[in-house]
Amino acid sequence: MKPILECYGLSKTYGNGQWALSNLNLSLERGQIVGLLGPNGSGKTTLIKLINDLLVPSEGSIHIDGKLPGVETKKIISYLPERTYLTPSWKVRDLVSYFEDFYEDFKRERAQQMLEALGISLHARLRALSKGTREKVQLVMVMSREASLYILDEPIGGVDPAARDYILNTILTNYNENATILISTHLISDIEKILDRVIFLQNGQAVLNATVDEIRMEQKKSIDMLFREVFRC
Amino acid sequence: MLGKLIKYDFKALSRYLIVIHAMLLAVAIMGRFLFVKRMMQNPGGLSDIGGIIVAIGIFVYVILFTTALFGTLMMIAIHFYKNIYSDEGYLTHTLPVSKGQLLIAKTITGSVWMFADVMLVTLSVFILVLYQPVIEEFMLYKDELLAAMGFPSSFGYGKISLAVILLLVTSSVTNVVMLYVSIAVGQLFSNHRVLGAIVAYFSINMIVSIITGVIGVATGFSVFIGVTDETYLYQFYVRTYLVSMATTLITAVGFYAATYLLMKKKLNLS
Repeated sequence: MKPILECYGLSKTYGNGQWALSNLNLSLERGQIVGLLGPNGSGKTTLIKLINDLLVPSEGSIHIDGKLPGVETKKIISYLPERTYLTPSWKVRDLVSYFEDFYEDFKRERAQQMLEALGISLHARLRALSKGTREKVQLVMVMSREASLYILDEPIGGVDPAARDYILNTILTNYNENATILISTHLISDIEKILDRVIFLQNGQAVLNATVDEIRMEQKKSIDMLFREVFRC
Repeated sequence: MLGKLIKYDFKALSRYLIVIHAMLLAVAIMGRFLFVKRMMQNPGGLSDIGGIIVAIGIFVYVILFTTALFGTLMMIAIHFYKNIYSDEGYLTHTLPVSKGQLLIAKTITGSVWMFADVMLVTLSVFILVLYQPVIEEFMLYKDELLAAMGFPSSFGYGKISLAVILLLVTSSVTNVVMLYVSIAVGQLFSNHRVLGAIVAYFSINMIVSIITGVIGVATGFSVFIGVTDETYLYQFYVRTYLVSMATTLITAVGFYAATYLLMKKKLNLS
């Protein structure tokens, strides 16, 4: 089986003379939860947008399951952006139908179960929900797909600690062993316990790509501590 | 997938547009039966209060009329901008559909509404003014009218209506893709995206008007040089019509291609 994600010499500039990503080489195997970590402006969001075909690389290329970003890769990637993309006038059930209409791997029952567990009504209008609840709705949609690659950009940023536990639990219980989850976040200590591997990005390059076990064994540090050390201001 | 995209685009567009157009038609029907009919039967028999009510009625109708025309344009533009370039774009662009499908779905739904808008607004005018006496007068003079406009008597109103409707269909498409290309160009000004789109729209509109105007006048009036018999007016119509049909189609294709390329190569959601 091909790696789920490969980047070759991936570079991106927004035309202002600065490189958001420069010559990034990366390969991710299936069946792991990967933390994509780095300070603000290190290129995390640029990389995520490139994987999702929301940007075109300036140089290099990106392959998902061996294919360039496009219709086929979008079928197997389930993406949670850090923005809220919901149409405010819709009800929760409209969003469920929308996902069901467009994504063949969407599981309606799973979505309904999770919404129920979080106390979110299918008849609630998205406009009327709090910001945190909207984020939960979005995450439920994303995790209700049977995808090969989940990309979660700041999935727990706006929700309270109790809901964080539920969400992390949701992530753990809802992905199959061949799927890969790429999580970008600042809240490292909260998600550290579920990560298998971490990638540290700095100035658009990967400065570290190791399993959590390797780091703990060799450096005798938690990821959170290592992050604070590497990126000390 | 294209069918599903069209379904959701129609839903989003129709939300307000159906209401606006239904209100316009309702006011036209009310106006017809409450005021115009009475005034036709008894001209000058309007009381002062009646006059004020008629004035208010006309005012409401004109407001709805312009709201329908501009509202349709605005709704189509806003839906495209929001769905493709605002935060909603994060979902739109990660659906398993191609950029081409996204654009064609929006072009079809936008054009259908643009055309429906013109038709419904015209219908509202007809509802207000087309009365038995008006129609009778028209029937009486319709051949003379046709001759006065310079059409051969064999031409008939059917062909004229068909030609006008065809031109309306193509210009609906052109107007819609002109909105889209302006918004796509506006995105290139990453700090002033909406302003950029508005400036782009008026600039593109002006350039296109000047070019098509010059071409139209030049080809239209060239008729008067070559043709000497009395069919010159008719030939003038035909030539102007064909030229505007061609320019509308060419600009539509150009704008569509430009929008597609900008969506594909220059997408940069904030």
